Amino acid sequence: MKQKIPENGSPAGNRRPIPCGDRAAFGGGIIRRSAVVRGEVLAIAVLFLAAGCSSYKSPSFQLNLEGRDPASVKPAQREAVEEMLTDLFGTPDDPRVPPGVDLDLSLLQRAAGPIGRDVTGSERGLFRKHCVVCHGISGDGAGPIAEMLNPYPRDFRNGVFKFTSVAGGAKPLRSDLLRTLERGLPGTGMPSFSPLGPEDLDALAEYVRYLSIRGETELFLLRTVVDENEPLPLRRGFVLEEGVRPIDAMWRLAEEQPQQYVIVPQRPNLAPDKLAAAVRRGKALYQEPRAQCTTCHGPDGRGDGSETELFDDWNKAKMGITDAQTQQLAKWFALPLQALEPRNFHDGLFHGGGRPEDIYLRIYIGIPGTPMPAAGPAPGTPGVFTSDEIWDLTFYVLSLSRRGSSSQEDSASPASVSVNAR
Amino acid sequence: MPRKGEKSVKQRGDPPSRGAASASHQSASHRDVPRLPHRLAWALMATVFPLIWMGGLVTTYNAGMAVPDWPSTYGYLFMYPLESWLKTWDVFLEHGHRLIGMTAGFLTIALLWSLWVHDRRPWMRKLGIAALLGVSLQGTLGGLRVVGREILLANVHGCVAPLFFAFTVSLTVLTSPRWRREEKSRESEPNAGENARPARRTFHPTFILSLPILVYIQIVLGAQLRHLPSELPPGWSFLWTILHLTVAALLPIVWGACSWYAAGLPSPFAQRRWLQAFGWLLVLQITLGLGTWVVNYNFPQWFQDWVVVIPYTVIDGGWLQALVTTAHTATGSLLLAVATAYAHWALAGAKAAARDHRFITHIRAAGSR
Repeated sequence: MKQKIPENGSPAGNRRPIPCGDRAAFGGGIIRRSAVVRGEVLAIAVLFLAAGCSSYKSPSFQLNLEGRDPASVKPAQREAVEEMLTDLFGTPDDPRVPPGVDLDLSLLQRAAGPIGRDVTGSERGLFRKHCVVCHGISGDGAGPIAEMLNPYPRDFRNGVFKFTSVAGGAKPLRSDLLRTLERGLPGTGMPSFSPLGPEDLDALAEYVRYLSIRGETELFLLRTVVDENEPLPLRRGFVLEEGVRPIDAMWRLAEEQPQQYVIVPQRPNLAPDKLAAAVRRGKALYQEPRAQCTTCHGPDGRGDGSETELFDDWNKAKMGITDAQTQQLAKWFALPLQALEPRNFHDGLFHGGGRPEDIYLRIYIGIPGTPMPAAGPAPGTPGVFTSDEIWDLTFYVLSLSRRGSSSQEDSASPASVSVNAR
Repeated sequence: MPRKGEKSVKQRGDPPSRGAASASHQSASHRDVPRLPHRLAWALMATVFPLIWMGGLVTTYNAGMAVPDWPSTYGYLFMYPLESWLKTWDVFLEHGHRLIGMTAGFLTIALLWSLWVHDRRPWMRKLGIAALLGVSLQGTLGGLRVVGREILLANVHGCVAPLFFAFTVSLTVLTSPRWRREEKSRESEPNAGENARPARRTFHPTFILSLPILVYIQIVLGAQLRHLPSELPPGWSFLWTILHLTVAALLPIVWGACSWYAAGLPSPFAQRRWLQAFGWLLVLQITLGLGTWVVNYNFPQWFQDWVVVIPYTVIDGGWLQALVTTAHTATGSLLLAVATAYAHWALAGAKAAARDHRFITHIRAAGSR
């Protein structure tokens, strides 16, 4: 006859307790049938308790104190700047356009606010849906994921953009911002938003302009109130005349005077032998001291020039003269110092686009905010090279690339340039 | 001519001694086991997994707020016009998520009814009630996330979903004929068949549970990266990422240790099969995790510097991004499900092994006297 084994594992009638070591070793007496299930129920309960402690909070723009000792800004000054900015530009949920500024409020409303659709089914909150995780609510380029990216996402608040088609330090065109949104930046965290419709892209580009104009106004206010000790309260008319209007004028400059500021690449249609000659000329230009190409990109375009410590303007501000100063400054910036790497042309990866026109613009205009200088003529400056010379340089740079152009429809791909150059 | 119970045992490849020893008992118990609760638990589990996929797509496409009202959809509770539903992608996802959620709710009610009618185990009925409470609370949480526009609720909603999925796996295992047979076998014949041999290695329950617990911690960490609040300082995502990578590195180690321990146990209790499935899923999941980073944020700079430069452009909202990211989320839940099934069988196996060990120890002690 079989003995009934009770739950504690001892034969019936033997009530001797099981030693603790036995319990630990084999789990007898500890394991229950639904140990896993009880854990699941407990975890669900804890998560629901956590959820009970939340309520919706509208996000707010953060004051731009980058590079400043927060203690150097008095509470009254801080309050005055924030109030003036809210008065002129509204909040992330409810944007406003200051009088006379070239911004489309309906587009801004489409991009601003929380993610979702209103009762009519129109989409809202495009910026928070697509951009905020990298660029942040204030457009400071310090979104939640920013620290993990290289290069960092753009800080819009200085109004400086790397990949444009305007010379002479003018602000980018709407089409420049749209191009970056549509194509993205290859090799970086900046995606292409090509699946979005044109209205959504327009709204996002307009919101980027809004954050830039707001950010530049904020910098003006901080300079005026904190650095120059402008008496408080601030006068709205003064801020509009001295701060907002000049900034808006800068943003209108290239749009209203395209013949002076906008560079439209006209790619020469060269036969193979002439293309090969252009590449040879480009190579000679590349080596010339006036070009300064080799300093950063190296003699063969491998990004191994003599200049090894390169920083863009956003990071240069984080560098002190001494290490102690740099460490002190690091506390006043949201993101750590990040160095730049000059492009290795042999990789065939160009952040601003790999078409010949893109490379031409990079050489002509330079990359604003970075050590890459402008080589072409602009209003008030003769330029280092002529347009033809810049095309020669473009073909040479593309001839070094071991990959094809990033644009499949491009007939003059770097690969063909490379073949023709040999 | 083998009887029904005996045939099914041999088909699973179990040792013949076991089938021969308890064929009669198993055949009888096989007929006693009610099938309906198990089938409904299966149906619920099979509904919750696509629900998790749909929820993952809702998060990937930021479609959680595509429908501003709840529990209705633009004023319709069930009969939202098909034309409107199919017209807009994010509305399609959100309303589809709600419909599958409702189906899961109805299936849970049916499961509770079947447990009440067919299952004599009182604790199993309580689990049925817990399932109904769980699915109701999860639905409410999803609704409150919409009404309250609160990303933290979305985060918790996303963390509860895999737990509920694991819970449905538990219900499926606990109602399965095989589990019921083993259960009855353990209760009536603890020293029968291959269980009679003592374990070569110890098997602590905490160790068994470490696998599903670690998977769940990993899911919660992943959810923090999926639901980043817009005003979170950059350092937090760095912390979440480092923790997520650390647990990702720990998981293969714990899985390897579990597999090593399982190999030393006399009774497999199906756990080796689950551990093998877990291993393959883990490989897939790590690949998807790396892919998720690339399709969202491109190849990291260190990869471009030290491995190879790939001129890739991230496409926001592209099919590759949506597929890889959502697959990573869903596979995480699947790993938890497999780890849960493994834990059930491993705990039962460890318990039986411990009991057999003690039984033999007592017999030896009695013989030596």
